[in-house]
Amino acid sequence: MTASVKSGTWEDVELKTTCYGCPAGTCGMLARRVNGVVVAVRGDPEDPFSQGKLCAKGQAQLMMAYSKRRVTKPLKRTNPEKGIGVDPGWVEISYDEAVAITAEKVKHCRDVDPGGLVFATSDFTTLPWFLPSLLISFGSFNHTSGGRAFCGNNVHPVLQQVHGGFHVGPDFHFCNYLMLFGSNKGAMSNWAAVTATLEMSRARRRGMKLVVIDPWCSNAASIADEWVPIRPGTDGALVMAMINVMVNELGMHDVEFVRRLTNGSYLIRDVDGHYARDTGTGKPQLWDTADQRAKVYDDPTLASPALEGSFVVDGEPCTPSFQLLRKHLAKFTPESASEITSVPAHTIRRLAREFATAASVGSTIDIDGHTLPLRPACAHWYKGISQHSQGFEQGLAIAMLNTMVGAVDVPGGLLADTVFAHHPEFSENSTWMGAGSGMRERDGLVAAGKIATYGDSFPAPFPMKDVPNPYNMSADSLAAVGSYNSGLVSKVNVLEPKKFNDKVPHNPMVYVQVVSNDLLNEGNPKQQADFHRKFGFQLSIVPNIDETAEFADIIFPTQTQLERLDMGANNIPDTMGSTATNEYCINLRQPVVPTDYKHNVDIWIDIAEKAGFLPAFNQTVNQFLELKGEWALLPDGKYGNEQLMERWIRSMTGGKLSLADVAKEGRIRWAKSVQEKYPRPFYKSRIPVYYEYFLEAGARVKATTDALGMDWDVSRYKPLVDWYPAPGHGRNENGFELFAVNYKWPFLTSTFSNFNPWLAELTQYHPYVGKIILNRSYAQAHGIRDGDRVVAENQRGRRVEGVVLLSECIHPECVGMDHHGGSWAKNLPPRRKTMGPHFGELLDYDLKNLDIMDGAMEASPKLRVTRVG
Amino acid sequence: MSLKYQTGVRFNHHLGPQETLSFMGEGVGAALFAIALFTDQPLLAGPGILFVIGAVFALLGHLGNPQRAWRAITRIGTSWVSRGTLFISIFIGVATLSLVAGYLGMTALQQPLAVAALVVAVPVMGYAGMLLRSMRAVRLWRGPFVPLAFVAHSLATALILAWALIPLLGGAAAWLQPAAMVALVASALLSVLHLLRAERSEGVRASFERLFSGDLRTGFLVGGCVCGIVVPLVVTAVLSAFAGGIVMVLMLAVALCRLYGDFAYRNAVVIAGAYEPVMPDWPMRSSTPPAAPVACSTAAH
Amino acid sequence: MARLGMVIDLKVCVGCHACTAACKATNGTPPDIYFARVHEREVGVFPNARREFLPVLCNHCEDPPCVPVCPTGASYKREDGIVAVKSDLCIGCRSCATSCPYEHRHYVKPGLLDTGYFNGELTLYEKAKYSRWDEGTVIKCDFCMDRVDQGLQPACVETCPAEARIFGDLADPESAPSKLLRERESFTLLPDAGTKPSVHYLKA
Repeated sequence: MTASVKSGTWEDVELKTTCYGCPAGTCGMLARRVNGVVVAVRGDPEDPFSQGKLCAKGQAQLMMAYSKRRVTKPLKRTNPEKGIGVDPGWVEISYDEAVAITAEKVKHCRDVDPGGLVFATSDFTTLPWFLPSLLISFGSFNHTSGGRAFCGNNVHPVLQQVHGGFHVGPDFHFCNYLMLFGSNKGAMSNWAAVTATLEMSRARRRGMKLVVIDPWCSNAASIADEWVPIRPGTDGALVMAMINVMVNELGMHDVEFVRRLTNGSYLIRDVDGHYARDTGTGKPQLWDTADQRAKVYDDPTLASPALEGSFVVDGEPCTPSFQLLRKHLAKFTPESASEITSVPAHTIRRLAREFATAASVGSTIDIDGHTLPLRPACAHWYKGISQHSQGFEQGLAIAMLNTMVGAVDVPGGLLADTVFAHHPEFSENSTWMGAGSGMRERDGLVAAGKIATYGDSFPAPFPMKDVPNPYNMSADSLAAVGSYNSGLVSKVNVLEPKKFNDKVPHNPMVYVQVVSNDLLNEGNPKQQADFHRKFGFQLSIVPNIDETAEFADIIFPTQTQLERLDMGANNIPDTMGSTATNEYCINLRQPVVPTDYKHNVDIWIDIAEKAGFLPAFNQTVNQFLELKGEWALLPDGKYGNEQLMERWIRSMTGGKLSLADVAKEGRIRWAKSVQEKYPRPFYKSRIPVYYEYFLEAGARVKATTDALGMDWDVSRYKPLVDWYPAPGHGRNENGFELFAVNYKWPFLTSTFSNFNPWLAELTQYHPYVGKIILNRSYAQAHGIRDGDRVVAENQRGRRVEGVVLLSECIHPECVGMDHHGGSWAKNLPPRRKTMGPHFGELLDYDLKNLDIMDGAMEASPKLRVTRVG
Repeated sequence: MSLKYQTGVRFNHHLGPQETLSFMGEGVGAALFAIALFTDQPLLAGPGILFVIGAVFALLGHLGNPQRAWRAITRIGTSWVSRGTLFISIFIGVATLSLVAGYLGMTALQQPLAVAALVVAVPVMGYAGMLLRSMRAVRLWRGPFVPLAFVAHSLATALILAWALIPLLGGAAAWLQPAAMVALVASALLSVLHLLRAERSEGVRASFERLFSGDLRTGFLVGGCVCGIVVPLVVTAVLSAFAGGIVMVLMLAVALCRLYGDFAYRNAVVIAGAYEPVMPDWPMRSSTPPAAPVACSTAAH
Repeated sequence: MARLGMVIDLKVCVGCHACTAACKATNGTPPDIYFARVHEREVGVFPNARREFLPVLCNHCEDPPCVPVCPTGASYKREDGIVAVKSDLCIGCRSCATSCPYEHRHYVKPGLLDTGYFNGELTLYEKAKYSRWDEGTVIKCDFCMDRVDQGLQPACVETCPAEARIFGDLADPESAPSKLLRERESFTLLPDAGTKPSVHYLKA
């Protein structure tokens, strides 16, 4: 500030750009540049996401651009031996040489077996268009991202089926009762963290009640009205018991919603559990109590579908699926759930009553001339539920909790972001502007539209697709209803292909790392090192040499946030949780710092040119960016990132806007209509409460895997949501009695922040960062004192060592660790001291730790904690 | 982890041994100068002034910008650092002039200068204690007893030094021995009173813990109490029972012992100074569900 | 006369450290010096336990103990209540740092500004920002008075994603902080110290 006051100020400007302090990259920000140096950043008050606010991660980005520990020149490995702690023997080479070497390897791979290339990226900004463009033009289907196994594996597929969306957030404007399950929404974590925190703060000020269910008293739990500590991996059982209380004890569910907007009224054949379809049209049928006969779901004369009863249709005894659900729910008594979850039965009953009461079934609200249902209670879940080997059904269960009170995409409920997102002027031009958005439908059920599937890059589980033989290393085709390419199977598969009878492709040739760091963000690094060693060639495009980049053969330096040019910086089309805002917005990230480094897209374009697949790449870019007419790329041309952005903007705005126009505004934004913000009342498609198609999906997976001689579990393809114990549930053996739980801090992003000296310094003053956290009474009973050095190990002997911190804020059956520690990179900022153990050490890549439904990885193994010495 | 930014009691980390040494140098030096006048031993006055000058250098070394040190006298009205700087400057000037005048035989001038220096020596002795007392954040240093105790300790040390050194200088002053013993007893009493009368806040309790059972225990109890008070008191009391060269050795040993003890005492009091916990000792969330026993545990390590 | 102050709402503070980082980025404080920070502790016994967050900064006391102890007049209190340091007058005696019961005064050790965050290699940003500080002097939070004088909010207030910080004139009964202080239960830190802080906390 004062610097500018001093003499000789030839520049003092504030430039618009978009933050990239976390992978979501949602927040518009202003960078103040004085004499060529950015001296301060702040949230852009005109941006609907940041609204002038910025979090610690965003503020600290200043340090990344100017870091003295960046990789500055392309590097070539000279030591053929790869391993953790092995010196790669880097030598600097020219950019052209690096491109030439890489292109040769890449071309060879493409000629021999394109499926031998794995592309790992956490560059979420380019992920929606660049990644599929590159992979498809190359011919590979192996995509993963750093820590992907811990991403929203049980979130996105569930949302696609229930909301027809990809991301969700609570409607902070109207919600009065929010339950968070393993989620820190509104406490500076999760997507659009600043927006959510801002909105939650306002909601809580006006009286919204917050209940957080979590084994660890997270930041959200700490500020909540109630923290409900729970045994890890049992949230599904708690939720099913809540639904049971709501439906079978209290009768407080939204009967009309269930009747009209779920498939609870669809008739299920007693004989096989399938829909009783109309023989003519093949459509599922319902029983209309008005005239006592079966009708197809879209019969215009349908008056009052039965939710209960026994009926005979075409000679087959049938039951409405809701009745099956009610019967199924009966086994989840609060008492039995209490045994599973450790939450007292009376608390479960109270939560169910509070939730249902707050939902105020039957109430309505008038917004802009529309009378909409008002359901100001909802549940949100994320990583804590997702990172389990049986998390898929838990996600389905929590979604069903919202469904039972009708709190889905209505005021006060849980909102999907871009089910329907039409730009008033440009919507016909491209998907990004809304073309083809909106819900699709099959059998009268929700089917995610084009936006919620990223233009079908993340295909929705429904409508059912064929289950072909595995075509990529992660066998994505076998996750028939949780098709969220996790990349996890790929590691188990490459390490032990025999487990899959050698039938899943596994020909590791080229590994590409673009700002993602699996070795530190995911599971056991030793197993991962074995995985990386299997690749003949690894290319890393990174700003800093992280743990994964230490396995590279060629390293390209790349840009940091303040140097990048990205249209759609906030990960459009779904805009990462724009639910809390009243606007849609596509942000532009523009360079505010002069740079010598290239954008990773530009580096790839150079490689693709040299490797001879640039024409194919251009064509797929046309397809994914939907470049049309004069803005389409010519196959023979070569277009840099900036030209691509220019053409993209031109094409999606029908030529009306240029990159320069958007740069001036910083973004393209438009107001949401009522229908866009609260789509549910405007759609007729129904939400499944009975997943009938899981039966078919399971059968297809079984047929495919049987034919390949693969041992594959299909027992969880059941139409009624259930809860399954994880490997850690059950008996304790040999002192392995503590569940591992992990969490992240609101001021750190797993790898992004490791190289940031400010954030690293901040951790030194934080009481919990890097500590192994044990419940005080457990520790005292086991002779462990505060500050002791302890070893935590799993049953396979994987172990970490660290300093213990005794806490009242963690479930007594748990040992807590954050998932930021254990970094061993050589180029960490000099002031960064050890940040505690690497949680991933304790997570084995093993089929039994894998959620076979959605590819998530079990992150709560049973551990034994003992004092050192 | 750094002491900084803790939530519980934090100990003073701004003042340490260097500053303590300077506080002690000023006090003992000024007292020595005064004794020199009363014993008519100009050879003691020189070391007294040197003590003070040494203390000034220690203080200058403490400053971040010693080249601006002259500015330190501009806030006499409120700042004890300013006042101390002023007193010390005057003392060094006047005391040195009085010595010079004496050396040059200008007795008419020397006498009033010496008296003036004597008058300023009193606030010089008291300044360190008053400075600590003015740092109200540290409750251990509050109240009248730190300044009084510091003055008493300065006098006791200077008297012991004078008592041990005067025979070497060929002089004699019989009153030094009882005076030293009185000063030692007074120092001990005032120090005890200081601790007894200190308010029992959380910070002070933490200071006591460090002084009596923590890391400062040896320095405070063995250094401050035994070396600083008990040994000098016993030896001065029983010295008449001895004769010969051993007496001289004992006297010098006691002087060194007292010097160390004085330093150890002051250092312990300075280092043990603690800030009260910033966070209130009740839960800040009134809406927290009733917790059976609400205990505030500080998680910071 | 104005009396600038701040109200921090502990009901909505999520302990995210945005203030800590915004202060660091805006003021360019040297390594290990934080004008704004967030304390954390635990309260209660499982399962009725919580982590509590307490964002702290200089309290800009009405009766600041750090000002009278300053021997040079470098420490001063502005008419609007902001307590600040004139670096060019500071001799680095740390009396003020010693006298602050909240420890919100920070001594810039000689050499610290050359060391920076990369052990001797200053970044362009650091070069631009550290010119503001003098080694061997005491520095502190000044409520971002350069910004306040331009009509802006302090950086920590502006960035707070929970809008937990409300800045304004406590002497004006109609200001936002004054109103909140009337409506909600509040407290200050170490009220016994007699400093009369201008930073108030709203109980959750």
